[in-house]
Order: sequence, then structure tokens, then C-alpha cells
Amino acid sequence: MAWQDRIRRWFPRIHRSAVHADLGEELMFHFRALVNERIAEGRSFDDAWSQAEERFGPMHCYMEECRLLGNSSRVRARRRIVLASTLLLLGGGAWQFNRVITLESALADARIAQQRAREQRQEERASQSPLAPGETSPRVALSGTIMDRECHPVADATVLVILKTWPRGRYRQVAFHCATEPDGRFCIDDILPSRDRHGVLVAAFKDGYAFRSSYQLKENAPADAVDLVLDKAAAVTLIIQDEKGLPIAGSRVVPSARQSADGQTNLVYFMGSEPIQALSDSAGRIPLSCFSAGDHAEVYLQLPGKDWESRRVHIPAEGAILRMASSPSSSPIQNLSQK
Amino acid sequence: MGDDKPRNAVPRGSLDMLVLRTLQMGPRHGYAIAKHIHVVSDALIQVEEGSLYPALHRLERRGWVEAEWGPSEANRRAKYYRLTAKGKKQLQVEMAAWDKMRRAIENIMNHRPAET
Repeated sequence: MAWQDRIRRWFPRIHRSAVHADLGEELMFHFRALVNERIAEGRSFDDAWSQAEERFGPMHCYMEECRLLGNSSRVRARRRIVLASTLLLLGGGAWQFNRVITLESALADARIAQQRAREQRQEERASQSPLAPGETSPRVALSGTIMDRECHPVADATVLVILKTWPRGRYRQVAFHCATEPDGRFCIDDILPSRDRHGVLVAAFKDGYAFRSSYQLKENAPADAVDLVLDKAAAVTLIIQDEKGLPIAGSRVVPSARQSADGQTNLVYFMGSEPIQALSDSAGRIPLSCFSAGDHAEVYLQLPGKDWESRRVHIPAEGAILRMASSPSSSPIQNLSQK
Repeated sequence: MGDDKPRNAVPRGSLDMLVLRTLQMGPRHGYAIAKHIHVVSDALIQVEEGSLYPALHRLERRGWVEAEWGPSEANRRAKYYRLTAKGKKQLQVEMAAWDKMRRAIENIMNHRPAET
């Protein structure tokens, strides 16, 4: 599920255990609801995300609170160790002091951290730079090439980039996009931290080619150049219909994931995906030529006036026509016909 | 718009009671709990997410609520909280204490010094 992958990438520290993964998923559900609420008010996705981030605050602080609440037995054991250490030290032993962290002080620390994070975000909003205050390493360019299987350059491909950073322990995500040159090269200047920890997701799109992505996580060096090889796509047509079979015009679709037959997964984040959004015509049709035959694909679908939702689809052979119903619980996606 | 309005925090010490009372009306996930409190209070009370989730986990640890995962309205996975029998009793205790406090405050606010 694309959103579970997002959670794991958004909270790399919390995916150490199933408990943390559950808590992250719970918070992400709430966060997403806040984003959707603001989109429904007419804000753009990026504005909605930023406002929800500001409202939600640093999740890792109250995830820590929840973790402490759930691990009360560990807290008691730690207190016993601290007491024994203190007694030994008073008795003349060479023991190290531990600071006694009470639940009340942990909550107070978390609230103070949350307040500081809010103030920090207000400063950041004044700056449009891709790097937040606290990231002082010089910025360098992200570059790469997009080729096809015959080693021909793919010109005018859309390259979507998601840059993830963790300034002062908080998560920050910024989207960029560009187009490849006639020689298949792309370059976005001054975006990558040269020393701070960062993650970069790069996805390449061109009609007629199955999209591909790559992800790098770097600690003390900038991300490497990204070279992607695109395979030919199987051109299919999506038809968006309501329960009565009538076409729905004006629906939006964004490819979000594809898992190829060899098991490789390629992802697109919703943030920054506007350049690859497709709109259904009066017949409810959306041509899709960014998946390969046999792919297990996922798309985001937005019906007119409705929330974005995720839909899964298996891509059959070239030329297939796939019906996507307005309600996911009604009928599954049907392969209507093949040429 | 909504972000320009001053957000009123939950009155101190009453978050648990508000959450238990909300869940008395049926199982809800965290977002729905916050939304219910905000709407029913005519937007006067805004539950901070940073307080809500630690509160929910605290209530769960005390056995006053229990949680299970299930599909949401949009067919996504959400964690729903439900009031337990122990939680219902605790809610009665909390409401009684709140009522007592409310009457005490009313008495103070309505007090008129005796005329001599």
C-alpha cells in the first residue's frame, strides 16, 4: 500500500517495531484527514500539507510520549537501576549517573519541543529555500540521465523529485520537477545538501514509457547522479464510470506505484505530482501509457468534487480498456475489451 | 480562515472526560474524536493532536477504552477506540467530579455579599 510505504519513509526512526509502525499509521491517518480537510476548503495540496504539518506538530515528540506510556514497566526498571546507581555512588562506588526521567517531565519536554518547532516553522515559511534553517551544508545540484533500453536518450521526460531532510530531528519534504534535455540529461541546481542527512526520490515519466523511480538515502554526502532506463509501456485506457455505467468527465488520475513482473517497485509521491495528472474526457476516458503489461499498478483517483483515493489495477496487455467504478466497493476494475 | 481564529485548548483536566463521553456515543478513530469535540462545542474547543493521542493511549493502558483496526469511511485502515465497561464507570466518576466543580464555580460567580 502506497500510504504504508510513505509512512515507513516518512518515519524511518519509528519503523523499528510493529508498535511504532502501528502508531505511525494511526497518526498518518489523522494527518491525511487534516490534509484532505484543507484541500476540500480549496487549498492546494502543498498548502494543505504545510498547514496540516503546522497544526499537527512534530509527531516524533508525542510518539515518544505514547511510547513511554506503553512502556511503563521499562520506566520502572530504569528507575530501579537509577536508584541502585545512586546508592552505590553515595556509598563511594564508581557508577555513572543517569538522569531520572519522569513521565511529567517527558510530557513537559515534549510540549516545549512542540512550541519550539512551531516557532521554527514560522521562520522557515519566510524562506522559500529547499533547505530549512539548521541545515548549513552548501547545496549542490541533482543531475542524471533518462535513457531507453536501446540506450537512446529520452528527451522531454518529466522528472519528479522529492527531497526529504530532517533538520533538527524534524521531517521536511519538498517537491521539484524538471524536463530532460534532448540528450536525456536533467539537472536541478542547488537543492541537495552536501553533508546533511537527506533522502531523494526521483521518478521519470514520458508517454509511451513505463515510469521508473529510484530512491537514495545519504548521510554525509550528496545524492549520486540518477540514471534511469525506461521500458516501453503498454498503452491502456481507463474509463471512469459511475455505478450505472455512465462516464464521469473531469476525473483526475495520478499514477502512484507500479510493481513490475520482476518485483521492482517504482513510486510517485502525490506531493508534486501535478505535472503528470491526467483528466478524463467527456467519455470518462483517460489514456494511460506509463505502465508495462503485467504491472501491478496503483493510481490516485479524484472524482469531481470528491477526495483523492487510491486504487489498484493490474495492467493487462497493450490496448486494454479498463473500467474504474466511482465506488471502490462496488465492482472491481474490469477489463472491458482488448484490441 | 480557520487558522486565523484563536484555538481554545481543552479545559485543563477534562480531556479524558471529553474523550470518554465522545466514545460513549460509539466507536471512533482519533480524527473523528477531535472533529466531534470541535463541532459539538461550536468550534470553541480544539483538541491538540499532541494531547489527544497520548490521552488515548493512556486511556487504553488504564483499560477505559479498547482499540482495534478497521476500515474507515474512505476504505482506509484506521484505529477505532471503543468505551469499555470500566470506561463507562470512569466516565460517570469524571462527570460527577466535573459537575461538582461546575456548581462550585457557579456558586462563586453568583455570590452576592450580604447587605448590612
